[in-house]
Amino acid sequence: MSDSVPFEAFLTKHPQIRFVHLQWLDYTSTVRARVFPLRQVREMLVARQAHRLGGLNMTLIDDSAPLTVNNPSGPVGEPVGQARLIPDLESIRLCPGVEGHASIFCDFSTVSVDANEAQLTPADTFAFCPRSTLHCVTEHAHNETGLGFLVGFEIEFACVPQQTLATAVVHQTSGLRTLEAYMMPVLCDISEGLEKSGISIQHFHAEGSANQYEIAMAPLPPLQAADAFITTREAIRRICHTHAMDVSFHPWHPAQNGVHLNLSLYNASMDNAQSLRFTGHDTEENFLAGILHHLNSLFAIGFPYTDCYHRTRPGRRGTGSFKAWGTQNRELPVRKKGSGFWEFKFLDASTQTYLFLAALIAAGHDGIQRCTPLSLADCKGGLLFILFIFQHHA
Amino acid sequence: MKLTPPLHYQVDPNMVSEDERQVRGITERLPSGPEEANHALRGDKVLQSALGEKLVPTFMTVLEEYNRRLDNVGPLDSKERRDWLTARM
Repeated sequence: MSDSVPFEAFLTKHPQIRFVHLQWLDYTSTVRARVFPLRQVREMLVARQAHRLGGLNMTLIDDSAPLTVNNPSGPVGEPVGQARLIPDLESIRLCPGVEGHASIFCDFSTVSVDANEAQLTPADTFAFCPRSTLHCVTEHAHNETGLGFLVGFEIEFACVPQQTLATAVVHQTSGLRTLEAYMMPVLCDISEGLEKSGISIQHFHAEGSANQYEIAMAPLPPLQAADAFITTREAIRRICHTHAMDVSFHPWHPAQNGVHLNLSLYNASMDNAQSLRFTGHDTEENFLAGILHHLNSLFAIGFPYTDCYHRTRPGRRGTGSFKAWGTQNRELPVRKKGSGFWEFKFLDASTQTYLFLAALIAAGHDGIQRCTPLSLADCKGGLLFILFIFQHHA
Repeated sequence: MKLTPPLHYQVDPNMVSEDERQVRGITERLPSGPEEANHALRGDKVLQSALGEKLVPTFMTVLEEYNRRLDNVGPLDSKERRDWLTARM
């Protein structure tokens, strides 16, 4: 368990804290939490004692266990016995919109307490933990390629006042009038709550369909970005409710809501000999080719439910229905935004964010390792598009 | 006049003909739903190894069960199903 120094430093800075959430994101992208009075969580940390709970807490659907996993019992756990929440104290932050509460993201250990932990790798200890998996995959890709990764999320949601408004609201994409109709104070509260908890927001605006809004988050390393994204999703829900607003992240009702994941590569270690393998253009193409090679598998994680596939319908600024990519092309699953910089659109608020990001990085890393050629051409923008469509429809 | 497709043009692959997609190398459709995508992940040894040999099958079992629950709640565009999913995502 990590040292409690960051925890005490946090409390010195925020003496108003009375409750601490130990939380984790389960396989259905549900945030689950155990809430502790400050005294209790402090005692646990000082005694280096992990909170124990049923291993099923990672695999539940609402409150029932959907499965039996026939793994042989052994030193490596399975999600049916006892599990432990291992708090990542670096992730402590204020809970936006809940005065006096802080949250800590935890890794989910399914190893029995009797196991000899000295002989176990993180892959054993956290064999079922998506958050720990993201950490391991990112580290591994970095160690092998010298690459660093920055991730910024954009989250779309629909927000409707619970009480009917006296005057009709016109919805205009990026419209100031739309924002000022009723959402400005709500979005300001969400942004300020997030900024106070250490999550930087780039901007917010009215999005493309009625009652729809978007918040764009600043880029962070993958694990921190996923933590920040989940905190943001929950802050939006919580603060909208405080303002008597019904909020929806549903993929098509009342608006087509998705999540965009912006990923950029950078050379993380110029003075590291391994970084010589970073050859810019080739690396970038191989990384993208790896993702396209594993695209269908990535969809299994990004779009877990039939309902999500609404966004694969053509002409809706979703993913479109073909496996393709293009520079600044918004009708495709992958939009290239710059050198080593892409936007991925095949995820939404129901995605297990840690696992999706881990899979995305692992797929790109596989492309680099195998030097996978980029066989799909860039569907990029330009005047010729108009000529071509004209010719096509003439 | 027949215009040869240029190498670079913004194109929505859904709006052009099969021949025109071939020029771009666009030959594959995205998965049609979770069943097709899950089938791909089950056969993807690279990602299973990267994400965990235990984690991936367990994760997929949960998602398949979740899809069954959704189907039990109601058909795809029913209000019951929309409300059920909205409350959870």
